Amino acid sequence: MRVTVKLFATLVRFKDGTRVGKAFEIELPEGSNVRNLIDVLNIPMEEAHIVFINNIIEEIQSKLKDGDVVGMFPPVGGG
Amino acid sequence: MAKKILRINMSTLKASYESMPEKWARWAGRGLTSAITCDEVDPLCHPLGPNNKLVIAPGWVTGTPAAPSSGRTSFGGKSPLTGGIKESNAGGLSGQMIAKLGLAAIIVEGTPAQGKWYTLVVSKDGVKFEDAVNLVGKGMYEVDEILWEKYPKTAVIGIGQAGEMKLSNAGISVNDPENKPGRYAGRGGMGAVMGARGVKAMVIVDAGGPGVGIENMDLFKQGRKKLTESIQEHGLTKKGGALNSFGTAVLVNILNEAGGLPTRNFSAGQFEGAIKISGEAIAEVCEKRGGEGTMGHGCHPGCIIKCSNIYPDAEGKALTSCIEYESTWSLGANCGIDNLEFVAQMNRACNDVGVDTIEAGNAIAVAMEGGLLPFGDAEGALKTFDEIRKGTPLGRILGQGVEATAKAFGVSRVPVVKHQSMPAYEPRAVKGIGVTYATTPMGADHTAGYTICPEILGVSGKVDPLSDEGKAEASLTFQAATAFIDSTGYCLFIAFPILDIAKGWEGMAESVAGVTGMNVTGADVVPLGKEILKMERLFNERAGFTAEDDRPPEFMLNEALPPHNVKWTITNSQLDSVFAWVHDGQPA
Ligand code: SF4
Repeated sequence: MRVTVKLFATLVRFKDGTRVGKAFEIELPEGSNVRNLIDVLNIPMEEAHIVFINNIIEEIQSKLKDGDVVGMFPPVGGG
Repeated sequence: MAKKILRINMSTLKASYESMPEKWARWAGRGLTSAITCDEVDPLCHPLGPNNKLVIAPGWVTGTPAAPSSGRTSFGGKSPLTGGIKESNAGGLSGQMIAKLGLAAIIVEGTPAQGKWYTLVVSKDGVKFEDAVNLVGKGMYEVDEILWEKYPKTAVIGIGQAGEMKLSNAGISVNDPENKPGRYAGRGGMGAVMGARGVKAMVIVDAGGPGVGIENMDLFKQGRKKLTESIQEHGLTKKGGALNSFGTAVLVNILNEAGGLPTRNFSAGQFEGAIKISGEAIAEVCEKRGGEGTMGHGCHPGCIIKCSNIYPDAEGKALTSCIEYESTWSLGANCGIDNLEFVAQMNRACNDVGVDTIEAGNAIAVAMEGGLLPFGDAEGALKTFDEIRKGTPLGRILGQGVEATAKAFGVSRVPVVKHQSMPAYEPRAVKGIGVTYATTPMGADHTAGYTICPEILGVSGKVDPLSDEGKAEASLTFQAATAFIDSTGYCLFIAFPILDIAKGWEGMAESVAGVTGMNVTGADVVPLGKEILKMERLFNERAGFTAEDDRPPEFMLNEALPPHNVKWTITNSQLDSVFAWVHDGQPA
């Protein structure tokens, strides 16, 4: 299956040639979850602090399906 | 040395020092401005009339040696925008200098002869009342520069043209270490309250002041160490973390991803141009242009988080500091504008003319909806600040904020609570922050109870932003903790590390106990915060506020917000439960 990934803030450094929020596709085995995706991207688990699937915040064990759009953030905040 | 209250009477042009009365002795910062406002300001007075006062107070630990990020100054009184009590706090140079003069608070009261404007020079020798004729009609960039020529390296508190016109969206500027305006006590029109006292500017000269006494140095040092470590360890506040690298505008993309970034006057929760106005985009410009441009700027000496930035123009000269999340959202996404250059110029215009960026951007967005100019018209939006500067009828309407603008342009989508406009989080998509907007005594204000922490940021746990469950309780806890932090003088951003790292929470309380000698521990933070909230709620009740004022705007109950297609669903009785304890569960 293929999922679309967008990386933000300091996570951009884990993907060569990408830019903030620029969507790219990743091929994953069926049944993969968020943790598997984070591993494939070589992102340390504690840095992928907030993960959205289709605009909903999900847990690392949440299952992915073909066509999902995943947004990943390190710890961010402000106000 | 016991701290003093400095009372400045603008009717008689006399200043006097009073010893701190017992009834206020426990308080500082927001707790103190609210206590003084409750005791001395008639809740029914006209906010611009002779009976309102401007109360200025640094926090408990402000001005102490190297307490991290603790330079906040609280400005309080009755708000011309909300008609209720107001505390608005700012960074910049003023807090530490007022504290080093041995002052717990400055109370500015009375009204000078018609048409007279003053610069108040506050030093260890007392107060000089200088004629401000050289500053009247000028924006804050010029005011800061002129005053530093005569009084270099001082703190300058001032108002732009908006404050002189006593517009309800006028803020109070505090200069930063580069002597630029931009650290604003923006919300609620406190600049108009200062203007109504005939005060154009205040210069704080701390040289030779007695400094801040510390009752228990060992305890203070212990608390300071724990707090500092927690700031340095937390992913969000450490050096090179998100706040330091991208500033508060790092929030643009995450709120957009969550469908909670209010767009085009709160008609959608996502903006297609979000990335272009985000913290990452600001950092890229700073990096590319270099020169004076920088991220990781501190708004006052001693800040170790440094979330501020200096945005450079094409030549690398400082254009504006700082572009905050709220500002890039209000002047950007909420107006359908994705051009960062224009956002930066509008940010500068707000800081110069002296208006709150949140209310200003919201007012433009409402005017866009009302047909004054199209959404996305960046040039047109920038020009509205000239209208305010010149005091044209249009400028005065926009400068009154969102409600007045909505009336003038026949708009019914009016994103306000208690007459103050909403900041950059959509309550329909992030329910807890909606509870805070609705119930805080301050009018719609995100800082008053930042439930965004668990709802979006994964700080202090994680809860579903779209769910109603537990949001009333969460909002109250955040509101109480915030009222305490706003009294410490610490920047509210210490909340991120101390909510996650227990020693930081303890350390904050211990540092307060060490300075004041009061018996305060981490367990006292929420109860003391509730005492402050109670004072503020009771002031508002005497000012005429009822449960009906603790409600979100009607359109949020009727219109479904894309992309989640959600309405406001939290019930009125849930909202009323937040402050039911003020009257022991009985109706007010
Ligand atoms: S964290 Fe930011 S707002 Fe807070 S004191 Fe530091 S620079 Fe100022």
